[in-house]
Amino acid sequence: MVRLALHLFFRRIEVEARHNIPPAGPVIFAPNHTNALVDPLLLVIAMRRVLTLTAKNVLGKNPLLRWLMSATGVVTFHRREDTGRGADLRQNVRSLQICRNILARGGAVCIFPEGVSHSDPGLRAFHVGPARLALDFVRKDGNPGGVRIVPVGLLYTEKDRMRSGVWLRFGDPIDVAHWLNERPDAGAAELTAELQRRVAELTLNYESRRESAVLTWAAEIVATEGRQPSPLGWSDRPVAEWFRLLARLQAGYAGLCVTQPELIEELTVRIRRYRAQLKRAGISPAEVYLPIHFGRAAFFVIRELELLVIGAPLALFGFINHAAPYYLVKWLARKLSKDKDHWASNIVFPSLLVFPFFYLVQLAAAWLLLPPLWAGVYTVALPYTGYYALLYADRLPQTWRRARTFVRFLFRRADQRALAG
Amino acid sequence: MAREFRLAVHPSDRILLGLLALAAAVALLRWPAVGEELSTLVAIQMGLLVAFSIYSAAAARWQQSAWVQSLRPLATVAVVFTLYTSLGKLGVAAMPYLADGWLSRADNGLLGFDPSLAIQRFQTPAWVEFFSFVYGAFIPYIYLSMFLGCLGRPPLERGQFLTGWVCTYTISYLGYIFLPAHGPVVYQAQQYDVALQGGLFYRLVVLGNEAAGGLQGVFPSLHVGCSVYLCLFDVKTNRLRGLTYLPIVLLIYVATIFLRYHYVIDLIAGSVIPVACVALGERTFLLWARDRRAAGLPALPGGEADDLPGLSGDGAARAALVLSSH
Repeated sequence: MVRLALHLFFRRIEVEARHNIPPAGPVIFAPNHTNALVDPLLLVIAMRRVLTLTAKNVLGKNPLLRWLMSATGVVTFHRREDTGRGADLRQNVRSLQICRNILARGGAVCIFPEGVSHSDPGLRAFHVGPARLALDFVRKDGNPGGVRIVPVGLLYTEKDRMRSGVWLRFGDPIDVAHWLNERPDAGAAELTAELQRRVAELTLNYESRRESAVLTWAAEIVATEGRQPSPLGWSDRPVAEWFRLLARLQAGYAGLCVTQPELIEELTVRIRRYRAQLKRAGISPAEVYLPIHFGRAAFFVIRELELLVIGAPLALFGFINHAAPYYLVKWLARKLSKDKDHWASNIVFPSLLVFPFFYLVQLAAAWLLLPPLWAGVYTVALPYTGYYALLYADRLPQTWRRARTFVRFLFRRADQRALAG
Repeated sequence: MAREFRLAVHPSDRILLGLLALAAAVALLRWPAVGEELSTLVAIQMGLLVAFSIYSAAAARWQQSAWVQSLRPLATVAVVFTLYTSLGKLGVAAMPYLADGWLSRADNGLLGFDPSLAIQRFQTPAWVEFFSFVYGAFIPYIYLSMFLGCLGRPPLERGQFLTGWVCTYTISYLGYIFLPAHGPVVYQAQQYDVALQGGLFYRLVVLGNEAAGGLQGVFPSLHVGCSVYLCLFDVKTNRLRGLTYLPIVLLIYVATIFLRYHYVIDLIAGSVIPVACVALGERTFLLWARDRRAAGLPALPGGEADDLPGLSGDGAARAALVLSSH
């Protein structure tokens, strides 16, 4: 169910270096934390071993989450910053012991070293918890064969938007016993620093939101490579490729900031102006290079009309049958989300209850009211048309935007020349 | 020499040449025994073999040329659809047996009853008309799919698509030649309570079948085989289009039984073949491209997509198209 929900929410989920996940033996996964409850779920579905999650105890104030956490064996930690909200730091001794027991059985534990989900442009300072747990496990519990810590990077293209992309990166594991052998005097602070450095290498960290925004806009422009856009329906560009481009731009940006800061200012102004122009015109950067070619346009019309006309009844059926749970979940997400990093969680988690509930009601009604053959057809058609409506809803705006851009450039060639120049 | 031939000639052309050679050989070998009845078919098969050999040689000679890339799908589709009207006849005329009895017994063995007879009570004129429409929808579906599939794909994907499609037809045509049959509508004609009654679409389907040479060539079902292949390939590469036609493909299954044109065993074989051919086409074409590159030739004729991806087929998205679109 969780896997399905995540694959519906995200258009692409890409995993890098799955081979860095130890197939057996004690291991601590240490990811960055920018998308609340979705982060741990992504980790769970990305690996083929049982993973024990950890969470802050205040999440248990929500009765539904408390039940869910208890049912899935989540270990809760009490944070210093939550002491006024029911946190009791002494409880952490017990939580740490539970984690050590899991590790002693050769299990896997996930701890978010930042301690909180956030929308900051960079990593927050890491807590020493994961490092301390690993060191205690090796030193005090006498497990020289050792635990490993796997740094994890979670990168989202637009974490608060449905049908966006996510890149899950597993870094080289730190063999804690080996690491200690090389640094006999090192403690939790040093291991934490090492872990933070490794997670930082797996993620994109910006100085400011402004830098993040400017580099994202620049990447959108650079990604076009000045070429005509791919036809609609072709495979999306891999999410990994997008983030690698961003990383390259960031490296260049950092270099220029030192050597030619005035150039950075000038570029920023130009990028901002260009983006504003595109936004006003409702054109995506990739479509600036759309060729004005009637043969291609005719092919486009045949291909898109075929899909839009033949697919319309299916999409409409899917939409009608899923509109109620869809809008209910969206309404709930709007009510519950106070910031960007909870939006996806507030879509995914309620969906796990709302959609099955509606399916149950609709299918019960179908089997009560319709002859068995039609009820069977409806049962099969419900998930199929729901998924179809989702894909159709992805495609329709793209088709409309591309057609509109073509018509605009057809009648105002100067606009295209100005934007492409 | 053989290696040079293999590297120069497109896999789909080679497969089709092999099929044409086999069909011509069967026609020639059985001609003395069968006599006059096979004369026209011998001429057709020999003509097709010679014409396609000339085309293949020309396509290999001028493989870098853009017109070859555009002509190949056209020539391939033309030959494959011509064979559709001739190979069924060849099998029935050339083979000293008919497979209807075996196919019918296979259905009975699989299901414990004869499905074609069992569904008679549902064959009202309205349902016959509906399934005739579905059966007929196969024609625009395949033509549109071939048009979009052969022109609107990246070169590597296009080559894989065409190779897999030719594989599907080639394997199926082996059934047409060596297991000739007429289908339940002819074989069990005496056992039906009433003949099928329908309207305009039913009449069109009947006329279409007669125009295509009558009901010859049944095992495996190419209505199912071809539509499953096109749908599967689309689901892999363009999911929205693949899913758009999924209901029609499923209804085609029902239509072929409902209209008494196929045995259930035909549908089973017609499902297995395209599933295998999607993978077979992808791998065959990719291996060919890799071998070409290893031999110092452009991986694909025309020098497109030199950066070959893994067997998954990803990564060629930016290569040039025969006819691009927006």
